[in-house]
Amino acid sequence: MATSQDTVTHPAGALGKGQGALRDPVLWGFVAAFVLLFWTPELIIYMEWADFWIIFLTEAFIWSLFAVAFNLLMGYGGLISFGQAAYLGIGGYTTGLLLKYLVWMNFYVALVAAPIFGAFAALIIGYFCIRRTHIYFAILTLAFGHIVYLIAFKWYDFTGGDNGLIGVPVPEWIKDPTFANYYKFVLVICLVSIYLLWRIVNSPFGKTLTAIRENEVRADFVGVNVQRHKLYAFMIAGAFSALAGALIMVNERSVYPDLAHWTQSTQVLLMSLLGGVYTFFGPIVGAFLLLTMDADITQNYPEIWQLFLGGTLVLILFALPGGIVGFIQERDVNSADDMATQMAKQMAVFSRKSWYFFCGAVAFTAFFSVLQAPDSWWISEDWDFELLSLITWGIVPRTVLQLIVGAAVLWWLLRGIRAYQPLHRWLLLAATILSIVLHIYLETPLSGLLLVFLWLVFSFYILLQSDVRRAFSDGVAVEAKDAAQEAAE
Amino acid sequence: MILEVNDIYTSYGLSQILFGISINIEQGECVALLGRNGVGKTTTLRSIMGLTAPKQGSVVYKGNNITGQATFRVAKLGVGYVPEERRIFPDLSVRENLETGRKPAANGSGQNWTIERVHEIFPILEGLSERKGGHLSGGEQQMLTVGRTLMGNPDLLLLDEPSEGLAPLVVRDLAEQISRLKNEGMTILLCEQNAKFATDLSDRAYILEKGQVRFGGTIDELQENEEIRDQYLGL
Amino acid sequence: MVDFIVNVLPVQFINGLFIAAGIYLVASGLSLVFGVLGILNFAHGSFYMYGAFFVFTYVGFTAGDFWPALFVAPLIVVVLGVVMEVIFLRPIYKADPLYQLLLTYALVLIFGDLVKIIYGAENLSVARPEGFESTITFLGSQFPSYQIFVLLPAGFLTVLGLYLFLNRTNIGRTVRAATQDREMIGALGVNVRLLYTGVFAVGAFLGGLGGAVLAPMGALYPGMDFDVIIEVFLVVVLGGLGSMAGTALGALIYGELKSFGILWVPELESVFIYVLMAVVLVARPQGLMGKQVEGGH
Repeated sequence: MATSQDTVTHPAGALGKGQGALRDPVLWGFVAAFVLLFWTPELIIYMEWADFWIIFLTEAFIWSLFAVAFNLLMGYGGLISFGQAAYLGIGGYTTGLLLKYLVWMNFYVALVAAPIFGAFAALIIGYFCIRRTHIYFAILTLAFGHIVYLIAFKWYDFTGGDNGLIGVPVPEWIKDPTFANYYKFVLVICLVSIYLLWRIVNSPFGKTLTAIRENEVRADFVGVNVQRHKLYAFMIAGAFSALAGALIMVNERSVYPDLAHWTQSTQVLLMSLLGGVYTFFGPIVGAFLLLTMDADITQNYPEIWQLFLGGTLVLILFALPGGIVGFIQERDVNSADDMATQMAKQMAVFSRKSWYFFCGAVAFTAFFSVLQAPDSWWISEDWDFELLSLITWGIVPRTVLQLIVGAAVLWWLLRGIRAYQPLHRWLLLAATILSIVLHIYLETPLSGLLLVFLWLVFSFYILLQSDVRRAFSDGVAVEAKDAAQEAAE
Repeated sequence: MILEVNDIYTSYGLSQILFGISINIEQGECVALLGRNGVGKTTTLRSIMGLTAPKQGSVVYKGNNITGQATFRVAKLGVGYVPEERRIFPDLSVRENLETGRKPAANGSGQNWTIERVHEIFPILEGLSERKGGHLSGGEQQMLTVGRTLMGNPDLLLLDEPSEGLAPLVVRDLAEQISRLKNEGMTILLCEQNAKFATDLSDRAYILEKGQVRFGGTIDELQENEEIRDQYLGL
Repeated sequence: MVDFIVNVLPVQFINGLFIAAGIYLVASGLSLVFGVLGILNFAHGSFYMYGAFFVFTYVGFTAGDFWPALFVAPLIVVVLGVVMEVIFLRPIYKADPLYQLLLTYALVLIFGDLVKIIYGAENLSVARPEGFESTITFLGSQFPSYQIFVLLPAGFLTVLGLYLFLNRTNIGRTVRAATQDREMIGALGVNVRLLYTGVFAVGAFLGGLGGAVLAPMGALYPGMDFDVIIEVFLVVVLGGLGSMAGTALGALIYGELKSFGILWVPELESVFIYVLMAVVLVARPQGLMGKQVEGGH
């Protein structure tokens, strides 16, 4: 990749073995996420779109697991697999075939069989692929991925061919009308799996894998068994991908060859790149972002989905090589600078990126509005005028309004931030929260909403850093004022 | 003045190699660029050729500013580059290697090289015409690289470590051939670690250390300056 | 057994040649581009697809005039290829190979949907040119005359043409030299940028030509780009990445194996070629005629 940021280093990585997992703050993060998300169905059950959201979240968690597993190869191992969907298919068909043809088969056994078969398939395919680097690896994974697809597609007697495997029996509790049971089931499995993957990348094994990515020859030279490490990584990725495939199968109670199609491999590739390849949690952000954009696009224009993916990929490669999470985390600070200069630089970067987020959010909202409601360009002509309705306002007037008002407010807030006015720091955080509320209320397209959400995360991430907090409360601000103006030019 | 390198700074990515190198060469001279491994000799040549563009400073060749020019333009103006490690095309025959180097002489140059003339200088290549470049010995490959560059009718020849890794007898032959080129009026900039080989051939020498010029003068001046000789050349 | 040798073997062999000629037309361009530029162009399959679709358009506009389309369609593909090379590839020649892979991959997605938008998602077809609709009897069997008189000669002429171009012309020699040491070629006074664009244009032409020649033989559909690129990858990996002779050999093996595979396991004939590729890669990681151990760095 063009830029190589450090992988997420976290206190957990530095913890000694004997200190135990309980002191790992990331574990508590997972527990918190679990508690928050587990009761979501009960919270939103009376909302208008509750079903949509629960199904959406279920899929997003499954894809997050798939993306994190894939990124173990791409981000940590430096191996781009162009055929990772093969394991999705293998997992889906393993569980599906077991449940469909063996009447006595236990649901959980069939589910556990998926990662086992996935790992086994990865062992065989990996044997041929991992010894080859980069270009060969890409070709071979693509080719083997395609053969899995072909088998699913053509072997009618066994897999049902392109008719798919339909009507797979699943336990009664999964079939509840609110979809909440399966959502919770998926949430638990995905969170546990992702946490396991987190432990894996922070184990000595994961560190070795990164060392191999950085310099294979050197790793080999210091006595690391490079091929074996890569093969294990390939198998782990294959196992968890297959688990994701099985979860998707159960969700739909059917499985089609499309699950193993190369387009699925493309999506997971893009999720990793979009979220940030060199970060652990980036692919999850990428998965949510991509699925949101998918939801926005496929409503009206499913035929441009690939075009959109390709365009996004080009954009990421040229403009955002670190992905979204890389973009949020990146801090352009030179350790040789004094404190005031560091702060000034950081605030300059913060302003610049805030403008990117602002422009991105406006552009996304406008673009996806066009896709969702292509006819409402101008202010609605029928006279039941609603002040806060998107349709009434029309895309062009609303976007212009958003641009002017938003830019004015942001400019004023950022000016205060650059001068270290403590009030402005809070106002800016409040403004991002406010705009999220506004987006939700106005029912703007999800992609714009998600971008504003990421902006909020970004603002919190930067403005709540301890050194930034101190800069706002101490006298650094006065000292740094001149430097800030300098950096601005 | 055929070549003037003025105070160039060059780096590969983050690591800076050259810190203000200035050298110049007159028409018909043979100038040696001496120094240990890693002092920036190759980088100097690459900077002249435009293979690694200098960040600062200028390179002027025959009155044209060629700083950071595309390599092929520099070559077309009449600068011939013979890289270290003898980068011949291993799958092409000796004749094909020579043909690949053929290009018309730059305006106002009297050069007129043909395969026959290259064979005159390096007779050994004649018998090997149909052999693959990759199947030659080190010395033969070195001669082929020089010959290939000569086919492009250069007015200035940049030689990078021609004697590296060759047997003493072969080095002697090569020295003879280079001195013959020089006698025919070729201007040569010769990078060498082998100081004996280089000083025997050259009129003047520059000594590099850590990306800077430590000494510049005639060979006689160099021979008299014991301090420099001891410190940098170990003669 | 005798029946097999007399009746089946020659027929299947010739059918295998058809497949080989078709895939070679496409694969040669990819192999050439990889050899010189060092870039594995995923979008090569798109060139093939556009070649085929442009033939469809040309034949439609001229009401059935097929032959000029064989040259016009690839030429338009060349324009497309040159634009792509100048805008997208030039800035990344020195980048990480993974980066290059991802970029050409992104272009596949874009090219793929553009075809869908322009031509729709339905299958299209191009009629065989006049005089080549029927079959001819040869060795006691029927063969489509288009395959015999157009496809096979086109494949053969491409092999011959590329061989003569690379081995008998000055530019061809420079191209071969560039596959071995790109930087050195520049130091010898060759405009490497121009050479790259030229080679990429030739590669695009071959891809487009492959699509154009194969257009009357099957359905045209969005997604044919991806189907072909996987087969092309198999062929070039089998023969050795970047080796032109290897590509020809790979295409031949691929064609024959597929042709005979259909006889035995009609449903899973593609599996054969994968098994073979796996075996070859274990025994000879660089492919049958490849030289370097690794294609990338």
